Amino acid sequence: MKGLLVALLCGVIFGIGLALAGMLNPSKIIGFLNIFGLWDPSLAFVMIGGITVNAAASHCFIKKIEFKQTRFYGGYFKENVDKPLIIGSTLFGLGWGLSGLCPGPIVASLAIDPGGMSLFMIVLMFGLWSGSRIKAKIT
Amino acid sequence: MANFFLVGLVMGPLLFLILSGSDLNITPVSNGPMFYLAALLIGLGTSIGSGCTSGHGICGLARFSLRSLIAVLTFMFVGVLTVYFSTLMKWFIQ
Repeated sequence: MKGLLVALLCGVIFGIGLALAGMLNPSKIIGFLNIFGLWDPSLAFVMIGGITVNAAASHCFIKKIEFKQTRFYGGYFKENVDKPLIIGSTLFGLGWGLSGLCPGPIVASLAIDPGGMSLFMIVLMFGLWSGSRIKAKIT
Repeated sequence: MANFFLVGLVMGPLLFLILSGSDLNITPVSNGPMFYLAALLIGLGTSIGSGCTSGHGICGLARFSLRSLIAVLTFMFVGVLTVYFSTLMKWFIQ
């Protein structure tokens, strides 16, 4: 019960943060990616802020809990950069650049703009489903 | 538990609207087939690449993950190129 409440609260904080930072506005994301045009670097601060807070939490608390549960620092040591990682990130970069949207802000926009985002969400979920099948084949 | 997180994520911006009393500026940059092609690519890409701007960009980089660093550099590079070429195309069409 406590865990579920914490998860809910984390989602609310993440959603408020995205809205406050302007991350729900596709044209702002495009402005950030448009480094050869009218570049708007402000979103870099959202990323730097998010990484700083997360790095502190990750290395002070989460690491210990993870090790207690799994006896393994998942993802901290040996990692192999494989084909699915590069192919997937390339496809995601394309979609991100075309729409100015990424999964966090997409889910966060569902209640704000249900008319515009519902079909988008359905197509995205179809992509997720077929992506996991493709991934299993190329791994 | 992930479902509760998602419910919170949907509620967050609504709470922001109520608490701040201001309006959110949302200006779409694409529509029609291009908009839904982007949705398909985002879905495919995040599942094949095991993460997005939040997963690789915030959580992965915070954990100093090499895979996440490679992923972030890849989708940033492709995103910048995509925006460059799509603005170029729009300029030509006009």
